[in-house]
Amino acid sequence: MREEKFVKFLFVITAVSILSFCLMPFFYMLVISFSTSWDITSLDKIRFSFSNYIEILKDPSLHCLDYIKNSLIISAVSSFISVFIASLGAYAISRLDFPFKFFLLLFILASSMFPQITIVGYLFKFMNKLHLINTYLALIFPYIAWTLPLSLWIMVSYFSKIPKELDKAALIDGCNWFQIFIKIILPLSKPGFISAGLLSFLFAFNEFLFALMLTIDYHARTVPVGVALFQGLHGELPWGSIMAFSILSLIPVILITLIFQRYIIQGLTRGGLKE
Amino acid sequence: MKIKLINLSKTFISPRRRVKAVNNINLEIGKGEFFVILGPSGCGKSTLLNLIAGLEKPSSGEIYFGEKLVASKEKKIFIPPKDRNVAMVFQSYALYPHLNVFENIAFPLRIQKLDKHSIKKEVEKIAEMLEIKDLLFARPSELSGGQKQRVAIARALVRKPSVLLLDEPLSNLDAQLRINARAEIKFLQKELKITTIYVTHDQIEAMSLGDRIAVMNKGKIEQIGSPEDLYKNPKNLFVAKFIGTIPINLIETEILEEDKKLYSLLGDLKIKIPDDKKEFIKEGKIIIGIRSEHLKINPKSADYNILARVKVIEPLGREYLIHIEYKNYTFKVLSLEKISEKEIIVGFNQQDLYFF
Ligand SMILES: Nc1ncnc2c1ncn2[C@@H]1O[C@H](COP(=O)(O)OP(=O)(O)O)[C@@H](O)[C@H]1O
Ligand SMILES: [Mg+2]
Repeated sequence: MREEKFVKFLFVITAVSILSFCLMPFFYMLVISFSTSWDITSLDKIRFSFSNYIEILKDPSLHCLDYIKNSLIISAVSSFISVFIASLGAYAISRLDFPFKFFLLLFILASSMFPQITIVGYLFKFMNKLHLINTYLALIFPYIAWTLPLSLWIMVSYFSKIPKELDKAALIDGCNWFQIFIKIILPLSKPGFISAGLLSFLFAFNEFLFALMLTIDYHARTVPVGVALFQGLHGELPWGSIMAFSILSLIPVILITLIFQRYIIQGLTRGGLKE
Repeated sequence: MKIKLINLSKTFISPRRRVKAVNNINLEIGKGEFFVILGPSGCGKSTLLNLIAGLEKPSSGEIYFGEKLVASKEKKIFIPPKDRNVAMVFQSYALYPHLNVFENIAFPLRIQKLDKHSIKKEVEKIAEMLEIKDLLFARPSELSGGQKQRVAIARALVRKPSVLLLDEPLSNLDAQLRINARAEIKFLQKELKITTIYVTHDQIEAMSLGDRIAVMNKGKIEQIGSPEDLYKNPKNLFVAKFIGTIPINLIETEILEEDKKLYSLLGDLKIKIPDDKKEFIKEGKIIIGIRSEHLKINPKSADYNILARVKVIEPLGREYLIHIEYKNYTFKVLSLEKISEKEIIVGFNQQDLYFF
């Protein structure tokens, strides 16, 4: 009994220390965003205030809300399309018989391991030719391409766990291939869709390099670039405003994660369906 | 619906190998017949069923449903499953895990876009018939094996198919349940008079269910006949071995020729080989088969008698299975009485012998 309590105690201690280690920067960010001073080492100077938030929301020239809006739209569209294309591809890969299937999957995975920096120069030229620089499309296209392999792998692993006999049963019950996909495969891999969608969304939301190169101003600029290029009126680094902006841009991501975490945990622990 | 298969073949080609899963099969199944396909695992039973269902395309040959050609490689005709009005029950039941029992049974009707009211009526009717009415709102994962199987059958029957295909539907049930389910399937089939093709590797199941049975081996049909016919007149060694709860006694013997007549030598016993069985002789040898119930202990009169040593006695409940040894041959004898002797006389008649 005492041993059990001790183990529990150790468990709590470990969990708390790991958690606090992970959350430390976030906590720092939170405190600074709500204080008038950014010198966290001298605690006596810290005064609680909303001034940072009011400042960035009131000043339209800072475009904070534009950046958040851009990020959300670009991430949502690119992750949705990525998962949509990936699921069609994964359906074909998991259901059709063709040679060298496994090599194809490996090749796709390998292509996703390219460092981004290797193609960013060419990508800029390309988007420039298409007159897409500083538009949503300039980012949506590369993000779809970049997240497709991961989405595809996740969806293939989910689809191939669904027994083929279900397809056969549905075929006999009168479905065509598209109906099988919509009525059987899709509902059975909901956690897969959500995991893949969320991972793609987060990638797009956090991506920096492409966003830096392919956007110019608030018309298409996303949050990470916005934060990096944040400057006060006199060229100084207004840490309080930066932190407040970061916290603001985190809110939608946290909300989305909270809403879908049920499915993600399901997806991570169960991995598809069990009879 | 009458079903006719003509020279039907299916070859699977993968980079590493070529499998002739179904090899030139000719078959005619009558309207309302309960037809069983029996064979060891891997002999192509499921493939044959899938061809009939339209889940596979034949490599060659033709399939007719009634007068209608539904699949022909040569004439480039292939009618998909949904237009064949077939229903199928799978070994794993293949219930849709995300739908409850009601929706599972209703699924084929919803695809047919039947109106809500009729769907409810039909589902409840079939659920009543299979005694699963109180399960309608359960999920498949909450059901026992026997219940899942009933739901699978209900889903198959709900849209009144003209052909019912069953692929080893009982092999996931335990022995007790299987006997009841067997009787129930037979009853349902006779009630509804649906042409039924039933695939199994279990010869007891085949014997108890089938109006006719086709014994399959390595993609080919070895023999087609009624259960009695297969038991009494097996055409070849494979069928003789496969049919029968107690395996048939098989003995390879030498041939003796005397006065232009052929005998098979069982020790010093000379057994006549009928003229029409001479074709079975291979390299001076022939295989004799006799079922264990045709070996009689201490018979009043028998064409042949042997004096044999008793090795083991297995009580089977009502009967005893006695393993005996004669020369270097062992036989299994079915007897109603337990015996205590060490040596017994066993007799058998010419008419009960099979030659292969
Ligand atoms: N889709 C397939 N691809 C390749 N080979 C297959 C396929 N389906 C079945 N086979 C092969 O065909 C043979 C017959 O299989 P099957 O019809 O499932 O046998 P059964 O149902 O009698 O156990 C087996 O050797 C099996 O490996
Ligand atoms: Mg099979």
